[in-house]
Amino acid sequence: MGNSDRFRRTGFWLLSHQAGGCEDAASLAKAGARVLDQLEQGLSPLIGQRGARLLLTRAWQTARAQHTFLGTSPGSLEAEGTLEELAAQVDGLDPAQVRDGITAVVANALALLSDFIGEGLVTRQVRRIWPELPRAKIPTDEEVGDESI
Amino acid sequence: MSQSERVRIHRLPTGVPGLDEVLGGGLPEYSLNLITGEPGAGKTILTQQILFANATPARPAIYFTLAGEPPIKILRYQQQFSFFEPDKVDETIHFVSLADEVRRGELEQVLARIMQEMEAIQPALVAVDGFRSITQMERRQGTMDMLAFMQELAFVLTGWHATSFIVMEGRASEIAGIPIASIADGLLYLTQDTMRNSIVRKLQVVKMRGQAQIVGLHTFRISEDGIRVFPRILTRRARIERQQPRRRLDTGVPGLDEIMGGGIPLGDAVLVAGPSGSGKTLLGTQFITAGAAQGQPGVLVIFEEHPQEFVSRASNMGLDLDELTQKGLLRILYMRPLDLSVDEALFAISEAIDEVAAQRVVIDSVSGFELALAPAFREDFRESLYRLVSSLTGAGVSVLLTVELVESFEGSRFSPYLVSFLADDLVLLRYIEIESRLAPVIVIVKMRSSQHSRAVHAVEITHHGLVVGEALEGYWGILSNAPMLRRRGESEPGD
Repeated sequence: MGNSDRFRRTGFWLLSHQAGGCEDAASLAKAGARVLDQLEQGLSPLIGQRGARLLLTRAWQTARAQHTFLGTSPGSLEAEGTLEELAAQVDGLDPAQVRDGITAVVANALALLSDFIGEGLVTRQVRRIWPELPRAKIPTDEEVGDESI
Repeated sequence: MSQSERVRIHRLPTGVPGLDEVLGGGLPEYSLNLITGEPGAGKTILTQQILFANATPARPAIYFTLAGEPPIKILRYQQQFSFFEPDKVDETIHFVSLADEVRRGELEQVLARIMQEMEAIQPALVAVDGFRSITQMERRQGTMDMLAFMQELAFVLTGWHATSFIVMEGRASEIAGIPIASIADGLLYLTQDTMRNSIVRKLQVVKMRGQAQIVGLHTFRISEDGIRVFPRILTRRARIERQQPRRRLDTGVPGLDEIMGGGIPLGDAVLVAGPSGSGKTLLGTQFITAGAAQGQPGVLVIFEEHPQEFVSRASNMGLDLDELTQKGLLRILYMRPLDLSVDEALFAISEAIDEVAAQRVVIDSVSGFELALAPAFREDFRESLYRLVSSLTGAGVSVLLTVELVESFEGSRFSPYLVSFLADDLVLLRYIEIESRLAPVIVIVKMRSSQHSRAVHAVEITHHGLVVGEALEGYWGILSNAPMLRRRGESEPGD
């Protein structure tokens, strides 16, 4: 399993966990905003709030190439309130499409971070920010085996 | 105050080889230390190495960065060092960026965040990196001034009972005027200078309250294992009383022991001087192997030839150095040329000697040794070599040094490295011309407390090594390079 697949599984679990069983597009968008906010807060000690926000912006922009609905958001994540506004913009969209798009943003952010500090330390950061995340959801090479999401 | 009433200061091992010795036993617990130097000097590496060596779950550490290098970059680059343990990140060592607080220009906020994190993590070790940015930041009007901030920070760190480090960029002259330099208990200054094509890194413990540090500049090297400091003064070896008469060591060169008056006195330093190709290295190798054959371990320090070639050439002479190495009777130390510091070289030699408990040491050659040093260290070379040789011979280790002799048709002279003062004994190898052929000869110029031969002896380089032959009788003017056969009844000119 490659890094991107691992990080996608992590993003998927985090989104589902935040959504708490709600499957509509708006709820998923709100849950996604909370995940990204937690990630931003969690990474702030490492790269400062501004650095964390720029990382998420880049992750968002990369995901937008494949998930065009993300392009409807005004400007970049640097603009305050972008995440909150997302929920209103996805109203009426296919929930699966929204889920995939937000999962891609989270996965991209973790992959970007991994390019910088390596997968091992990214895994540690993720587990620090979300201690409730089951180990199997962001497995290392040794831990791969549980393919269920 | 009685001894029992005095506070005992616990010292933390730094985890930086050589540094504890320089500090006078480690870092005083609860001390506030300023680690300073120019960019690229190794300040962050040093601090990280200390934290990784000391942080535990019960004694966690916080690494604050103010501005400039954020923690994510520190994590990126520091994980390349072997001391970096990923499992300690966020478990025992917590990385916190204070860049946002610094950018807002409010020192109160910086201090408040430091206190907030310290209360949350309860650290035993705290480092604040990028302190230069604090001294340069533009503060909002009416906010805390720099002196108050530094004093407050010092109180916070000390009051918390944390051993702390402030990492700050700057030259020595700039640091001296900054209040934190006088507040700090310890001040370490790191430099990195370019000397011709070599980089020379040095560390100075400017102050370390409550203990006797080794003063002066100590060289250090940064490798994949982090920083290693080479204390300027080698740990003194225990001296042994010389017994009289002293035991003599077999040189392994047939005929040589006899003309020396029974071999080399134990614990002597012998200088073997001769021109290139005269057999100096071979003599040294035979000396080492003869010792090993009697269970006396040895160290061969070579500078000019790669060990593989050295071993191969010795093997051609029937000297199996690989076997001796495998048996733990020999350590061949090859010094990487051109950028060594004297202290680093002496440390490596000393370490190799301890590794095999060497009783015989050969340094081949003194001239190669000096050339292997970074230019900046060559001035100190003779004095440093003298310290090493004295320390070894004082401890009963016998040392044989080879030195290049510059040969000309007018005669021979020592190379510019006048090192004969190092040695108790002096052996001279020469080429002379006899009947239009170059012939190697050997003469014992000086051998303390020995009834040694003063004659010039023929020497032969055979397939089994050097062999000393008969004295060259019947010639005069041998050392002139062109000896004349003495006819019966003829006396030397001037007689």
